[in-house]
Amino acid sequence: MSHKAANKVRATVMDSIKHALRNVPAAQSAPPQIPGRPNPMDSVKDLTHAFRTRLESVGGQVHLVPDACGTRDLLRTLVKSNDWQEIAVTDSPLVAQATDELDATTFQGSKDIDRLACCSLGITGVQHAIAETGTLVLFSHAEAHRLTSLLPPVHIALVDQSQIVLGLGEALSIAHKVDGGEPPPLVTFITGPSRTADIELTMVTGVHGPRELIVILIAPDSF
Amino acid sequence: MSVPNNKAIQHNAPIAHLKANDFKSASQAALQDAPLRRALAKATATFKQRRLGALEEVADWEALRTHGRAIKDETLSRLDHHLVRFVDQATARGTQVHFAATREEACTWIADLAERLDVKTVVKSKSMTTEEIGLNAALEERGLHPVETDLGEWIIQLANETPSHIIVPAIHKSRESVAKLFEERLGAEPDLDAIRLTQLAREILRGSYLEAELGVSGINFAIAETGSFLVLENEGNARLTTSLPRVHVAIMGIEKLLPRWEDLETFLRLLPRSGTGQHLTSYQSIFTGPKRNPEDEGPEEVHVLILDNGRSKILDNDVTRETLACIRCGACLNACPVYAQVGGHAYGSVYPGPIGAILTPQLAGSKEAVPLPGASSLCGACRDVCPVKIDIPRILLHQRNEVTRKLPMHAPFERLAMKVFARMARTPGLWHGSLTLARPFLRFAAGSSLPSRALRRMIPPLAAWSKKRSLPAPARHSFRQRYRRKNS
Repeated sequence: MSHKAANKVRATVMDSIKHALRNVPAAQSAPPQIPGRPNPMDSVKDLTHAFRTRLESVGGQVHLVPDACGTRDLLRTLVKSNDWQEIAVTDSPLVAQATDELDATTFQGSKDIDRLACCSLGITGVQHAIAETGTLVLFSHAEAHRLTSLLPPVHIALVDQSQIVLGLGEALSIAHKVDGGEPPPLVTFITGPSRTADIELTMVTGVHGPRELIVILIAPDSF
Repeated sequence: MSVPNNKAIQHNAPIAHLKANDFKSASQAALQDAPLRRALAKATATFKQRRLGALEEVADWEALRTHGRAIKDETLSRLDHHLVRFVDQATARGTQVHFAATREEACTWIADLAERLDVKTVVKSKSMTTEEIGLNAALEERGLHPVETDLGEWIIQLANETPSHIIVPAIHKSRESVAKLFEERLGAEPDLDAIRLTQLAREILRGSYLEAELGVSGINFAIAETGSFLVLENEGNARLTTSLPRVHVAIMGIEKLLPRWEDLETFLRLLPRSGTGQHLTSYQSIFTGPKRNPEDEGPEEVHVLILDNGRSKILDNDVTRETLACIRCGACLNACPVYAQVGGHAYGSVYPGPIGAILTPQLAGSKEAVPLPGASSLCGACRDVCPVKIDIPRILLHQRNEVTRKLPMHAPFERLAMKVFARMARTPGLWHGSLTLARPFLRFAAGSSLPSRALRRMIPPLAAWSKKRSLPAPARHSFRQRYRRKNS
């Protein structure tokens, strides 16, 4: 469609909308108080507990570790017991630190999609986590998480207790201005494994994304 | 029950594959379809129960609904302003925004884009708007290869059918029939279970993803303030559709806007709970423009196509404008006693159930969907579950009124009958007198004896009415009579 024709279509649609609203008074703005927010929590331990309970309720696996060493040990154990050979990672320095001594080949998932599509595990960090909903929050400008958290059948996310915020409101409010006062090109919320119930409402995980979501959560306050 | 999907766009109705005027025969056929009714009963009951469970954890659900509706009212009353803002903000962040006044324009625009990009395979994530415009048929006509990737939508596409539920498109299909379909169309082993069927879908669709260069998605909410938009899902297919292909096209109706970024919070609490009874679906993606550096992940081009297709006409009606507040959660379908019996295909529209009954005639014209406003018992369950408090029964009544007004043959008789009734109802003596006379007659007519049944068949309005319903017999004595007797 030519530029001129496109402008004409836009004008047609906008004119019909303006015409439709010619006698409609502007409705009041919705009140600024947002209902349904969770009750505040006092301690990091409570936030951690709420996050964990929520995510486990939708089939996510959550492992608490006391420190970065704990993360490395647990990762090594998981990789060994599952015999994961090829592991995709993101560009997050935290992920690099946690995976540098693994008994497996690691590669940057976003750089080699064909390899990513065949590998057995993707490891990412997160930017935040939400206690209210058990959700991982990832920003594309902070970490190239898009495909590494999606293509492999298992996704391991490394989280620190300091990243947990109370509710959707807090997470959205951070995301709104996080990339130089702007939202990043992509904000991803992940709450549990990929799932479907399209065949007779039978729940099946791993339909297009990971069938397993494992969170390794550094939570010194919970020990 | 399956409705064959005619490949060509049949006529110029604003909704693809529209057959809403066949509601009577289609619903009767559905009522005879035992497997369909079992599937519907299970699905609607499950979703209703899950929704209730999900509401329990919210402190003040009513306040949340009120807030959601206030945001929608605010948006709709100044939709022109918010749309202009969305276009400006999205454009400033590198998203290309386009408009389509009709479904033909929308389909043509997407097909033209595919040709310009020289792509053959187009991967699609679930979008009711693309169902409305009949995008797949239109792309196929132009020699393109659209692939649905939502499992339910893919099943429907393989079976050449239309969706029967807004949230669970293949709700009408049994596991056996899906297994048979995969065996016939994909050469799968016979009688696979749901897990194996899903795995097979994953394997096959991965291939399509890796070769597709154009991804088409819908939009759940668009944000005027930042030119962003959000897509909700459980499977991850929308994430793949919007991540792997070089170009991403997102299509939405003009009404999908929210004024502010922060408004997402309320709708993220309302939509998943109302739709699937989840506190949140597995994935939400909020998109703001294409990738910024060549080495980044994500599409190089992001397009938003904004569709009118009759919506501005709905906006122009004070009585029915609130139809546009709908966020397509599907809660009214699950709550509706009519939908639970006849299922989505009977409505002959991609938008079935109570919301479909009010939306379809408004989008397509009341002549194209005459029976739909009548497809309700006006019980009000749809209004009670609606997360944005759309008064569907009120709109149904309004539409019945409109339809009746346009029926020249019936109108004089009905008008006279209603006038007589109104006079009687306003004159107590006449009312009680006629009821006293009618009582024994109605008691007789409601009976099950042969003469009673013969009588019912002889009186035309009673005959039509009682064909599918049992006539309730009035009590021997009226409430007033009994009350008087008790107190004397």
